[in-house]
Amino acid sequence: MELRIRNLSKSYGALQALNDVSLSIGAGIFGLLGPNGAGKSTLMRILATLQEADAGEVTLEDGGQEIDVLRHKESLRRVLGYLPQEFGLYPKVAAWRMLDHLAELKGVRNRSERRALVEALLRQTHLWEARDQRLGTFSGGMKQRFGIAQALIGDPKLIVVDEPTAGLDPEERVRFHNLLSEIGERVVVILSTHIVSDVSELCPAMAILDRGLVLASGDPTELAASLRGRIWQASVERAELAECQAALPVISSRLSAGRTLIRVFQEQSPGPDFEPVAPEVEDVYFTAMRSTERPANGAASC
Amino acid sequence: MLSAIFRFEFARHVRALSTYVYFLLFGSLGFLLMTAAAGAIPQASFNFEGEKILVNAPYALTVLITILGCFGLLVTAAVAGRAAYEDFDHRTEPFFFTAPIRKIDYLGGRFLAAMAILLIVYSSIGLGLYAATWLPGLDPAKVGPNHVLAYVMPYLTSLIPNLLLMGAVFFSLAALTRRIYPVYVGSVVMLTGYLIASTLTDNIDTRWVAALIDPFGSNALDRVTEYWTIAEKNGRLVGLEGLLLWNRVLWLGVAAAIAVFTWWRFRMQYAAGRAGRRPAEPAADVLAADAMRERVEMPRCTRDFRFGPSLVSLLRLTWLSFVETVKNVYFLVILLSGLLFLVVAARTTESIYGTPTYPVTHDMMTIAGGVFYLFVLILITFYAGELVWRERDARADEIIDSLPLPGWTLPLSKLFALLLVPVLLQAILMAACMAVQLAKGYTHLEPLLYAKQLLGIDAIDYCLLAALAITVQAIVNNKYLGHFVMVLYYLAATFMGQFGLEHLLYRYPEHSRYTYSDMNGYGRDLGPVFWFDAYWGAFAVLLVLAARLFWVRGLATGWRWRWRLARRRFGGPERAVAAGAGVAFLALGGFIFYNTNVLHRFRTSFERETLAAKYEKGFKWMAQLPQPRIVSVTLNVDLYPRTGGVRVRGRYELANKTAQPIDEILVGVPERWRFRRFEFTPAARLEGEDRSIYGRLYRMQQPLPAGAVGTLEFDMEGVPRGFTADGAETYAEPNGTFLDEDALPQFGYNAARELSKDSTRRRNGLAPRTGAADIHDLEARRNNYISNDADWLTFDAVISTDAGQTAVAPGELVRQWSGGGRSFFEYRTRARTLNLWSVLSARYRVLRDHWNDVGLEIYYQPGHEFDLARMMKGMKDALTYCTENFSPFQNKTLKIVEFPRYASFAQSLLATIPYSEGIGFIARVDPENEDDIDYPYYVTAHEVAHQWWAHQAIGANVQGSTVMSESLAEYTALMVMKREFGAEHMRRFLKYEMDKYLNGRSRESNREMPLGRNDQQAYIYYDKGSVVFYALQDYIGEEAVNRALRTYLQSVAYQEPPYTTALELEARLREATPPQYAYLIDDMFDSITLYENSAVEAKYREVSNGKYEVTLKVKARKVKADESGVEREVPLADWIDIGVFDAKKKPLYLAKHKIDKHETEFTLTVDAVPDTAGIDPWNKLVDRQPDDNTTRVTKRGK
Repeated sequence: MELRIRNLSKSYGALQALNDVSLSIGAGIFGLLGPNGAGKSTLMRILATLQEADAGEVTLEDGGQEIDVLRHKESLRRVLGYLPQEFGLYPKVAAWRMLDHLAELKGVRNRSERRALVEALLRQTHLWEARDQRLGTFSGGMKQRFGIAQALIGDPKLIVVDEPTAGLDPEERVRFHNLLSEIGERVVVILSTHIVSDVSELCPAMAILDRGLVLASGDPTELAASLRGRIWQASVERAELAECQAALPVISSRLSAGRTLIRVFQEQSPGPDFEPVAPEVEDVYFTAMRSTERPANGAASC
Repeated sequence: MLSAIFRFEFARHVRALSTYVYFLLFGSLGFLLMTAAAGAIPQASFNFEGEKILVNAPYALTVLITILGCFGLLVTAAVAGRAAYEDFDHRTEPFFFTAPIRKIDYLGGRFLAAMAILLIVYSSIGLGLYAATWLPGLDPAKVGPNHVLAYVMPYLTSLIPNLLLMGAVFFSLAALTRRIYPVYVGSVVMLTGYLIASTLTDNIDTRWVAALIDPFGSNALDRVTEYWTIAEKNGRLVGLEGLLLWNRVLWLGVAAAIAVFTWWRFRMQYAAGRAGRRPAEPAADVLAADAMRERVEMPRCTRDFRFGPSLVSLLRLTWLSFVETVKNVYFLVILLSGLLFLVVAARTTESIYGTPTYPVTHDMMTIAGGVFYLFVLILITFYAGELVWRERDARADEIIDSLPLPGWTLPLSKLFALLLVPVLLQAILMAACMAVQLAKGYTHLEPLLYAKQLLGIDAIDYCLLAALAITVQAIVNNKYLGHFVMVLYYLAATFMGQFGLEHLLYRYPEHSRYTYSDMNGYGRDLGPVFWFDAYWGAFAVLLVLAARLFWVRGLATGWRWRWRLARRRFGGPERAVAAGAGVAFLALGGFIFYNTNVLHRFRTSFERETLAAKYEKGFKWMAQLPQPRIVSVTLNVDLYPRTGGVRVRGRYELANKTAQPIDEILVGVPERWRFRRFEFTPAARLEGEDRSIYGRLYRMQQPLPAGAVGTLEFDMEGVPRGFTADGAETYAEPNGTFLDEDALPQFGYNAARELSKDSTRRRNGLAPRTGAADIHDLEARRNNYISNDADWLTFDAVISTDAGQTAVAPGELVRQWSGGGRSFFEYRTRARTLNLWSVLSARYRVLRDHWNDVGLEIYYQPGHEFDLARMMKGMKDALTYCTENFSPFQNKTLKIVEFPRYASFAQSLLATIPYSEGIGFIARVDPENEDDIDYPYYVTAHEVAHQWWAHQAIGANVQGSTVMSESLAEYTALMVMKREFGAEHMRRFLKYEMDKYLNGRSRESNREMPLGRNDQQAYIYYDKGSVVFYALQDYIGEEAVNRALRTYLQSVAYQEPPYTTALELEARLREATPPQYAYLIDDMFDSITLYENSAVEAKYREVSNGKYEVTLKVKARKVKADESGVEREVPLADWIDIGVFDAKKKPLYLAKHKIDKHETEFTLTVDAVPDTAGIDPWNKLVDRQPDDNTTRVTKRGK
């Protein structure tokens, strides 16, 4: 099973949302990482048949069958599960009734099969207890889980989840990850997020998208490994930060116990204060992001 | 702070495109209406408030600005409602609620900004109207000088108060409920208030209520200006006075109360439980992290995407959308206000003189289908937006749009859900109508008829509109813009016809006309309606297809993509549907066009005017030529009610009654009949024929010398073919044929076909109408005012009709037989008759009775038995009265014959009274209610009186001649009623007559004439005639009047030319009038006289042993009005009633006093405690303020 995206482009007037994007995505959870406005949602919506692409091709291949995603939306929708980034639900409808309705619209005609499916989905997403509640009373996490339940209807081959963890508390996020990884074993799941840990925790494959361009793609561990020996960390005073950023290819900085930890991406050690660290997915992300800004190399003077 | 919020909001509105669109819309509406009303668009037949009203006169501007302001209701709802709702919609309320501002700042700033911007928007109405008055090419006679105040006053009296009230209501609804739906509902409820108020205007006693409870004030405006003369309408500013003032005070008070209430109730807080109660999350949820790691086995399920099952999805989606639409409190409120309206309106169905009719099914259908139409329009418009935006408003669109549903499922499910709304409404209405009928004790329920009308014809109209509304919403893809487009569409649909765009083929979704009648059902008119509906149905399919193609699914909302997607979606099935519907549309359109424009002539009103002008220009000179006169008519009429055809074989005996030979004969013949034979003896040659203009022109081969006689024999046939926009062509109705003399050849120039409106005449290059000939015009007195080609004639007709029907014609039935599946009837007049006859045929039931040796018959529709006894009594009493007082009855029988309600009149032919089913057969006179006017009795008496006043004495074709027919028939009917019900009972009736007269003169389209010189003006010869003759007999005595009439009748009955005039009648009345009342005849017949009488003050004290002394101060003034109502005071030396009444309105004192001062004080002694007193207390004299004639008598203090 494979989703192939070739030379996909999309612009809104002058804004290039996707620029010649090509990706090949197999079964499992694929993380699409990028800052806000990178074009993630555009890509996700194109995959969910809701947005038109200007150019390019997308195919979903499954057991010898190939679906042209851009042209044969009808066929794709039959194997699609989609959780939008933001969505509402009819507030006065009970959860199970809504799910049952959606299942019917997704082609599950047999009533008893549908009932069984709805029950399984609600149990899986742990909404069974709340099945008779009106959707308007759901909390953010419950709503998100309901979203994934509806995306799972009908045994989808392609599941598109757009920023699903935004707005979830840590506990809910964990639950959500568990649920996704459960599903991800069998089908293509594309998860977009701007939270690096979502990807590092969940995804065997990923791509980094910024301003419509794919900056990097591959196995997150391998990508991180490829940076080995080139990531340096030092602890500096807050006052020195600007100076360092000017002099060195600082890829990230964060506060730690009142001082600032900075990480630098460079072939050689930038200076004695720096120690080499094991690269993380976050470094991959920031390195990739930085690579679009200016080439890196500098002397250690801070 | 308030001003900061105001400025911010105002600036935001100013930057919004919609503000400019609204401004332009109202400006151009004003501009267009003024242009059309002022006659700059020749094709436009928009006639505004009568001929003589200047389009920029204060009164006209008030009406125009009020009406256009009412159209603004929806814009007010949108702007004011959104001003309060916007923050909740965009969820920005926390920013404002947490800011340090007061409630009054927040609400006040928003509200005032909305009001200010709306005022600016609506100011364009006045600007548009004003701008149009400067256009070149306006009819100069219709445009007067512009006065700024005339434009400003309507804003002060009407538009701004309405804006404040409606604005407050909508703003408050949105602010307090934090939703936009209640605003829609609010606009419907406001409309109901207006409609309910309007139904109360039928009854003269409840009009003041109507004026007060109408929130828009337009009923109050009508009340204030109802008796204004043309001169006043053109010159007087409509100020805040009388009921209008009270209405405005009342409703502005309501607006203020609403504003205060809103301020009081509004909470600047997050609304807890906005989505209902939020139960605590299950405690178990905390453990879910682990639970979710467990694998739940997903059951296998089969999925099915075939067409059949997706139809089930469609139905399911339809049903869900439908239930969501109607299962809420808003729909309920709208429904209830509609039903409330139905109940109120049914109270006064079709009332005449304040007396209602039985709630027969077609009346109920008219209410349900007619006025309810507005409700349904609003529902369709709003719900179309809600349905199309349902997913997006709930933000569930991304989920729903990515479902594996065929592309047509969503659009169709919305459409079907919307179609179900009116169907449900109609079903409820149907039940409600029948409930109302039962509640009123009317048990003849016709559920199938209701179904046919409400669920058939009307529901189809609504479905077509719904298809349009859905398509507009789908294509426009902006809910509010969609509403706006629909409003534009309704406006265009309403006014298109008046701008000369009259053909139905381009007026979606109009169909040909029909009227339901108890007698004739729908006649043959449902066929054409079906063809139009099919035609528009095909078009609706194309519309819906467009909606499907351009439906926004997903996030591609740019037009470039929508086009591209539409092209991609236009696949095999879509092409097939497009081709099928397109072909059907064209084929049906072609078929309709063939019927309306090829088989028949389609003419716009403009084209008809042009033809009438051509006739006048080309042939008026022939009015001077000697023409033959008909002296007898013999007809063989074959009616074919089943097929609609008629054949008439006829023979006129003609005579040259002039002193010159007749050479050319102008024959008016109906346009569509076919002639098989048309032969003059002595012979005449056909010189020319143009039926659309004049008919036929013949030249005698030898001029017919003076005094010679001849004949015309003709054989003509009306064969129905196809249909027109007015329905099926038909000559004989299935049940209720009415064929009259207009269908047959007539001689000479027919002045009745001349254009009557001066503005139309000017546009067609004709001089203003001269009106009826002068009363002294001897030439004109050669003709009576009924016909110009006959005097008194004999009439003999053999009529055949389908078996089972009875045919009726004037005169006596002399033979009746049947054969060959047909029934034959021969009628012959016993006395000579005017050239006024008709032939009727239907499946009648007959009620027979007799009066002395005269046979009385009523031919009626089974089921219409309600008022037969009243009619029968009316015939007997009128026969008695007329034979006692005037002369013998000239016939052996007298029959009333019912005909379908396509027209609402009764007329009197010799011995025969055709009587519309609409004006008496279903009257619901409550014998318990003293106030109810028994109008079936009255109408019957009036028509019977015509057997004398028309069929024995007929006036010349000059001014005032209708006095001798109509006014005297009114007088006779009044006397018959007075004898039957008593003088007390007459006052209410006369109040209606007075009202109708005063209203009529206020709408005069040429010039008001005195009664004795009236120019065929119904409000004068009927209504003023009633009032005047009733007063006359009150002054000089009934016996004196009757004596005068009797001598007059003896001298003029069956008179040959020159015919009598009103002057001769006046002379007889003058003889009968005592000298002190001599001025009455001049005042009543020769001039327009009005009084301004009022009671100023009345006090009483008890003198002794049950005697009471009343001092009464009254004012009196007498004026004479000219033809446009300009008044001139004249000296007063008149005898006027002075009366004192007890609490039961019984007179304690009532006598005529000679009054010659503006103010007079009387001291009178009465025998009981007085309650009211006044001058002319029973309103016998014409007075525009009849209500102030009496006043309460108060006890004098010590």
